[in-house]
Amino acid sequence: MGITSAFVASQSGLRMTEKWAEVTSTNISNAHREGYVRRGLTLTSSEGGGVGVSGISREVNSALERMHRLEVGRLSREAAVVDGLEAYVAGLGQPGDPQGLTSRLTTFQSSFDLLANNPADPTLQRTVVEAAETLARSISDTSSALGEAGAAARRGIAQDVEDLNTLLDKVMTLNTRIAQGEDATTGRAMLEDELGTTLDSISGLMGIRVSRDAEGRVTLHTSGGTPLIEAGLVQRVTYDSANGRLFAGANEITPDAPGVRGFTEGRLAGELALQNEILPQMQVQLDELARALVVEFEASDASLAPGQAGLFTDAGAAYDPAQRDGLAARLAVNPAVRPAAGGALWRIRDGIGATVQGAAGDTTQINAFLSTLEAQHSFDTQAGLGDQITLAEFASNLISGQQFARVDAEQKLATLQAGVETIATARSGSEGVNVDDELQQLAAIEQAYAANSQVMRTLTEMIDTLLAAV
Amino acid sequence: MSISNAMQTGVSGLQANSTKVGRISDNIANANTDGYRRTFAQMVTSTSSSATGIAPLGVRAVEGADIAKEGSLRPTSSATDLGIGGSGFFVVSKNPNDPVLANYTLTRAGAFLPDKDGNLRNAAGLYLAGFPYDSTGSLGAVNRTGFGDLETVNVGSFTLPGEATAAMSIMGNLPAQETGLATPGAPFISTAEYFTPLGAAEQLQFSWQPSATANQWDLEISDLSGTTYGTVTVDFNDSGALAGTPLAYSNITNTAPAPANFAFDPATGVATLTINNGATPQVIDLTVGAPGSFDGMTQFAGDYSPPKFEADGFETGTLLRAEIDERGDVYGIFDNGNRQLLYNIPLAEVTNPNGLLAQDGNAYTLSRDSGTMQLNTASSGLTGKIVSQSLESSNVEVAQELTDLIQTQRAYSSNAKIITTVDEMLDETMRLKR
Repeated sequence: MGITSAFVASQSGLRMTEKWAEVTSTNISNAHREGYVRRGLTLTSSEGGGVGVSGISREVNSALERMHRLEVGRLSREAAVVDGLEAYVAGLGQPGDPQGLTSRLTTFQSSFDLLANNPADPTLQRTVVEAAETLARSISDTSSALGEAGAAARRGIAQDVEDLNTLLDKVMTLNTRIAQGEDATTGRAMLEDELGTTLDSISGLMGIRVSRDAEGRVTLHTSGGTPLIEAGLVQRVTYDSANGRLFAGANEITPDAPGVRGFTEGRLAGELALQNEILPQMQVQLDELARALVVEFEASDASLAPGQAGLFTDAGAAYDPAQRDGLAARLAVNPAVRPAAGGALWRIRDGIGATVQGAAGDTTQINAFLSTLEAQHSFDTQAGLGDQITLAEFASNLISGQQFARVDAEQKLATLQAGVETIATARSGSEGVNVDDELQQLAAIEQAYAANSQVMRTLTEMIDTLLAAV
Repeated sequence: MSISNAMQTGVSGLQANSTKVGRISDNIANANTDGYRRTFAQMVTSTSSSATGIAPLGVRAVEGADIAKEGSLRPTSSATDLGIGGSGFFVVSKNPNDPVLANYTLTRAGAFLPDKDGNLRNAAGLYLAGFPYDSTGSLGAVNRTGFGDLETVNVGSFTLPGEATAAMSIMGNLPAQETGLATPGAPFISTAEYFTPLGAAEQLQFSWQPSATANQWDLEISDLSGTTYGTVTVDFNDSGALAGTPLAYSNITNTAPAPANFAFDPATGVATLTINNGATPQVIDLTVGAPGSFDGMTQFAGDYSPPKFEADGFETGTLLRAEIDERGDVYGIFDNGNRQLLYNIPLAEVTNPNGLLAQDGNAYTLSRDSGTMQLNTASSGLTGKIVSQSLESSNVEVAQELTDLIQTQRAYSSNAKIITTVDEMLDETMRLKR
């Protein structure tokens, strides 16, 4: 190795140091940017002496990345459930709240107790009717609040599906650009950053599996294995809101559906669980409460002709077993007891079907109404709130059960949150920029540059000496 | 030996040393010429002595070139700057795709850049030659002892005509636990890309339906428009050394509307698809996996790993850029993201590189002295490797040239001194007679 090759070697040293400084400064300037993965320099000894820069690497940790995405997906699912239930459950109140369903039921019952002592008092009769109306309104309001929660979840799903398709299209574009671009360059690393952020966003929406081909293009499947992006085709996600089903292209990917190769993580999974399971279940519970009120007050009313509506009605009509769905929303007090609607208050004492006033002190019908409020009834097991319990117990179970759904999701959320934070910290520790390290590198860069320049200076002096000798 | 002979010897010394200075000046002038090879003058005695007596022993300079000695590679930033680490020469021609074989020369100067047509041309205006790959990625039988089969490497306006897929293979794992369930779940779907004879990318869909019988799957192959080509039932081994591999294929059903067709060979696990997309339908051999082989689809308990497909043929595309590896393979990267082998740049090796004749523009031609030429693949055998993004500096060592220069200068002065001394002596002799 002569002076010329020594020159070439130290020149390559200078070039490498410049590249190193570039990488380090990029790391420092992007230290706090979300989704930035630390860059490194891959060095090789170059053919014929000196050092070569074979490329810029991205210090990605794919195992942590995968775990982080999985955890974020689980977290987003619970977060979606909590968000979807929050407004509704807050309005529902706790058992025992003065504005709550159970208190309305108790108020209704105690007004009957008072009336039993003084059945002829029109004021007490009015109190009973008003308590019944408040109760019915409270149930139908709760039902419409539930309907709003459902509508919000549907809007959320529609929005998320749209976002998801945008993100999938973005992945396709990035795939093309990555395959066209050169490996191990700054441009490539930037594209990879963008791809990483996009995949992070997608995994917040749905559980995905990522694999890569030789050209660096990603293939995306749902965690169950249905293709989302494969063979250069993007399977756009569509939502069938009538049946609550989600599709990727022609393949069904509804979360939690049996036998479907879908996914269980991500916000969409949470929203669809709300839409398909949690909210319908709550609706069934409310409808069942309304049904019990309508049916039991029909059964305990001796004055009714067959098919005639009792104190509580399905929008004025008697109970029709085929029409239970959505009954809570239609629950209303029979107009026959409401003077404003042309009814008469005394029917609360004599029975809704009575055509003429009975004896002023007759408490038979009132006692029958009271005993039905106190008696245990059978409830549809589909509601899952117990059988052979009183109306008040059912209402109380309903509130605590629905509160529990949210509390449960919140607890899961808190547990997952801790896990996600741990993994996020590990991921940013492994992939992120440690400014201290980078500053240390800067010191090393300075030294390396100075050392290489010193070599060049010495070589120049050697040549000068030689030239002086000629 | 007489005085006048001494004078002549001195003159021969002057001549020889001036030749040497000439070579040194060539070297110093070209010290920074990429691919330049050092030339030198060697001193050889010149005499006509015979057995009867010693004749004057003059000197003459024999010129030579140090072509075999490598220069050092210096890194550059252009991907088409090529350096050779080790032995060998690039083959270049005066004109693109030159039909005149005499116009082909060898060089180590690798500062190639595309000209207006995309042909790679070095700083001296010589075009780089390589062997073109055919569409299946093979060079075929090329003449490696002559320039006849070479083409100019073009990385510009290259449009890749499509090539139909003829063979395809599938490799992946099916989750064993999904079979044998009372109500098996939905099928696992995967999509594979193939290329039509016109170079368009089309897709085939594979649907793996787990069966209620343990370790049994129904494979259905269809296209995206909904035409089903056929179905086949695959049973997998559940025990023994071959557990997880296909056991047998049965229930082969062809549902493709003629002339499309689906055939399956249970012995080899190869499906033959006939796709009706032209006057002559396209036929694709699809390897699913021979019974007892781990190379295709397997079935183990665990996750469904989406199958990987490998298909030959390629899609029509326009060249975006080229990459050159150390074997001298030029890969084209096309706008559709595909990589395709375009050329192989061979390195010419001769028996005696120092015997090559220097030409204008850092080039050398074969001579009687150089021996036979062989066009070898870089990085194979003793042939050097091609290093992209680097250039080979001249193999001149300035320090050596300068020391030689000092030496030669001294030698020249000494010879001159001989002449002046002899002159003085002759003067002396002249003065003997008044």
